[in-house]
Amino acid sequence: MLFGQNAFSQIADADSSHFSGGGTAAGRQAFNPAHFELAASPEYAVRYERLAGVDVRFFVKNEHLQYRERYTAAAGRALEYLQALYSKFPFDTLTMADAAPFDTTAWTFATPGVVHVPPGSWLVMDYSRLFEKHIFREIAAQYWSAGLSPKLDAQSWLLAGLADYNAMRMLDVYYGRHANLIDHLGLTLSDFQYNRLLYLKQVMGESEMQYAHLFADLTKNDAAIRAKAALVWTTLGYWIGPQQFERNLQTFYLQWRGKPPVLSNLLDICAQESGQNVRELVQQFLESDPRADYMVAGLQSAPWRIETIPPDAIDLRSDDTSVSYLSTISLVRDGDVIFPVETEVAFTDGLKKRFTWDGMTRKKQLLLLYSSPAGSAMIDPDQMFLFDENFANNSMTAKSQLGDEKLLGRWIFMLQNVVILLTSFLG
Amino acid sequence: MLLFRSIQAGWKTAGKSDRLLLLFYLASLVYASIAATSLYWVGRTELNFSLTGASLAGRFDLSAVLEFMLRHYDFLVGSGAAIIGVVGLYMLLSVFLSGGTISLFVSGRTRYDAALFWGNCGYYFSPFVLLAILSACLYALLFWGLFPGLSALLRIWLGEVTANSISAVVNLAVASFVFTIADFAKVNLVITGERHVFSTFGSALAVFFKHIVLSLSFLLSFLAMNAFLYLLFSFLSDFLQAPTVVALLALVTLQQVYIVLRLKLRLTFWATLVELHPHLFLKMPSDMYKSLKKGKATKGKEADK
Repeated sequence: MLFGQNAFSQIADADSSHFSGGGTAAGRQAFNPAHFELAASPEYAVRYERLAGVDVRFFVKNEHLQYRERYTAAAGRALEYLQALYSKFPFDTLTMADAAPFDTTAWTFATPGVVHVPPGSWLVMDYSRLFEKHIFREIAAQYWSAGLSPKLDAQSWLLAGLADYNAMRMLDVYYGRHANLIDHLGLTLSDFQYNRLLYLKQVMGESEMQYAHLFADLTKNDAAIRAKAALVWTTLGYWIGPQQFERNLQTFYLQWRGKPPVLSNLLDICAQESGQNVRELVQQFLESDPRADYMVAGLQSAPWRIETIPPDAIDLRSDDTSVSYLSTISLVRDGDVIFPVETEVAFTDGLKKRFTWDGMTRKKQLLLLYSSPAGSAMIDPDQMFLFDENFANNSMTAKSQLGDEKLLGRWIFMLQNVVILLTSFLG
Repeated sequence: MLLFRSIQAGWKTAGKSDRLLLLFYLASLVYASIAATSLYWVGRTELNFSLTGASLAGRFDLSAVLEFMLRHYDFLVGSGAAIIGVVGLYMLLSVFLSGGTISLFVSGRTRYDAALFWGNCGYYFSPFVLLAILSACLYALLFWGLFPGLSALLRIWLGEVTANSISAVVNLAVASFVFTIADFAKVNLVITGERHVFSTFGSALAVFFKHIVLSLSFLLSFLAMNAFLYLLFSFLSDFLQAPTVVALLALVTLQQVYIVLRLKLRLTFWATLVELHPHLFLKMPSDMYKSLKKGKATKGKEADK
């Protein structure tokens, strides 16, 4: 009985005796009586592990036993990260239970002490880390919802969003920022891009009135709302610095543990500790559709032979320069959201310089005097403003990159390869 | 040695078939151009003067492509069905052309014979479509019936990292086996002149496993040649990333040369199978042998003349 409980009992940890199943006198262990049913079911195997100092009980469907390494690694990493960041896991034990396919309870937010693992379709995609993301998020949710506020209230999206933010950060930390969700055969996708797509797909093409309903009720556990919340916190984190923001979250968690906090409590802590006016920034994200398109609209360089420096120009020349170029870079904000962004200008001699624009006006012109002309300019090169509608127009080059032609050549070549591959098999 | 000689002979035969190569190449180019042009028109002018455009030739940025698709979602949803339809048509066209191609190879004629080619394209179209459906069904059965269990066992025994690598190789191998068996059957159908698809597919399956060493060597040789070709292409294309017209033209030329060579390998694959056929099928049971001899006397459409 390879896939049954017997197989599991062989790998059961000796610490299994710690699990009484009913909770301790301290009262911080939650246990759903339905899990006795799971334990008795021949379809489930029970497994005990001690991960990062926390007793973890897995109820795993027999067909998912093959993925035990992924279950263990994901839960272990999440517990390790969150305990280092906040405090000890809020319950004596953590129970992870496979949900039945299409079981909607698997998608709801945080049952105390219990993480529902979604249907196996996420697991079987070896190349995707959606499964790990879910485990990260759900264990983080244990901290935010169970640790802070025992009931869902009007601002539960705040906590759900923070859990999503934690999951994004954990994916960054463990798998890198740019390929942490999919990294397969050269195709990569990161979680922040995935959340962007999820959110933008929902609101693009709809008028402000139409999408307003999406955010009127933020208690909904809607994927686009969660994605928006995660994007808000990630953008805020980038703005005040991820380390600083995590310190703020730590203070927030420790101060409000066991109490129901509201948004302004977190913003006060961020503002106080970082010294930045975060309230205004976050408010504009919440009140309306925070999309905006920051772009480089123009880039020109011309020789500058006049002795006087033009007004507003930044002189980057060294003293012995005989030839000068005046580069003019036009930056545009299309949309209402004001976000301070950096612009990186690369000159043809290899020099790269960054300039900050507060984004207060709709347009901004950078005048740069230097011994070489500007070759390219890129606004928000670190992609910190995640509500930017279009990253493709964030840069401009002085010379054509033949991007459209390359794209056409690439599409043709890719499609030829696809059909030749398909017909190698079937044709 | 036998395999090497057969591949050599197959390569020569494919080399003489310029018109066939041109036909397959033009078909792929026309299809891909039709499908790609719509994508080009919707996205043009977005990337010409941008760093995103500069990076496009070097890598396949999934998120950039997804964002592009998101911005043009409605258009792509509308044209997606058309593109899939065109892929389906191309596959049917390829099945259609393969009948005439294998017939020309079997006939041993050095010159292109339009009547023989087009006649057999039509003559073998329906049995070949049936063969494609049969092999796709067999693959689906193995993929969904056998593969999950095997993959689960491997994960338990070997751990996930090793098991995932082995599973990927096994998956590719199963697909290659099934569709190579279908190619064995195609060649046998043309040589015997029969249209009994199911029995021929069964015979090809038996032959594949009866001569497993030769079959596997044959398959691996072509996989290795394709892999070598791809590595060579990747190596050369890395030098052609500069945003100049000359580099772009060189890159597009290299891409198309790569496609032509892939198609030539495909023709060589069939021509080699024709060369190997006597060694594979002559040792079959007597009834199969009889049918083969009968087939040699009446080759497809040629026999109708």
